[in-house]
Amino acid sequence: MENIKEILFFLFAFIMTGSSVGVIMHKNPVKSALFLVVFFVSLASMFGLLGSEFLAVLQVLVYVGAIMVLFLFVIMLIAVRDENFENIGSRFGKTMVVSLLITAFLIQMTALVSVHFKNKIDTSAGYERTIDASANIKITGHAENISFQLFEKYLLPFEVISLVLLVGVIGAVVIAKKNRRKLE
Amino acid sequence: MIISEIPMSYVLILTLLIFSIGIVGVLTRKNIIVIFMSVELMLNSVNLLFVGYARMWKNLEGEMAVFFVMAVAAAEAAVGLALVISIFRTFHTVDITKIREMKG
Repeated sequence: MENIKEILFFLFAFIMTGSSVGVIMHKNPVKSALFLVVFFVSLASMFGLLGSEFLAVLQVLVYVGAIMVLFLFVIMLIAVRDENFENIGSRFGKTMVVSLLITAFLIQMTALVSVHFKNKIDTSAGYERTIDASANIKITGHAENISFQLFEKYLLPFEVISLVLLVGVIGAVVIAKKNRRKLE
Repeated sequence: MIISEIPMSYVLILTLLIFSIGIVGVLTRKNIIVIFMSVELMLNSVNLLFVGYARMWKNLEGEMAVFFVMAVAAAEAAVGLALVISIFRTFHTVDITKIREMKG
């Protein structure tokens, strides 16, 4: 019972990693999109595990409910064929460059993480700083606190973001509209 | 009441892993839609990092950042997918290696 959150963390981390590998490895874009749905749901569970349940609900609503439906709709609208990976060996140089870059990035970031937490161990009485989900539940995470922040401190960004969404919707309609006469 | 704790380094390493997977997807795939999905993976891994640090410092700023990132990602997905439809109408393909209008 003591480390049930840790077990859940590892479970969701496993699902997230596996499904994101599935997103980038699967030939069929529809199945990639479904892997991405699994990823979003497990990420929402992870948000809930870390204690911000409002963002967990928002993640499911926005990503699974809106963005993934849009993705699947577009995949359905345009006839997408399976990607063939057979000629990936012919682009050997590019693949080598990509894998070298990723390895360098991983090594650098892991070094950064270890240095960061070595400093943390020095400052915080011998143990690593941890994410304490239930002690500060009154401070963060609740929809009430987030809405107070949203309408007091972040009122201007909130209005700007609504404008951005409006412009996005209008722009999407204008871009996707058929204008055959202009093209021909 | 048991206060369960998750070390912050776990969250950081998970974020790192998923961000790297997203980069690999962007750089290696040829289908525009799958590249978009990889970009979404990267955005979401950074969201996870924001939430982790917000919980660590007991601060709401990180969660507000996630809120705004989600809104911008929604707008970005709408415009991006409209662009994909437009590209498909013009070139009759979504394979980025076959779109060579502006190739020098």
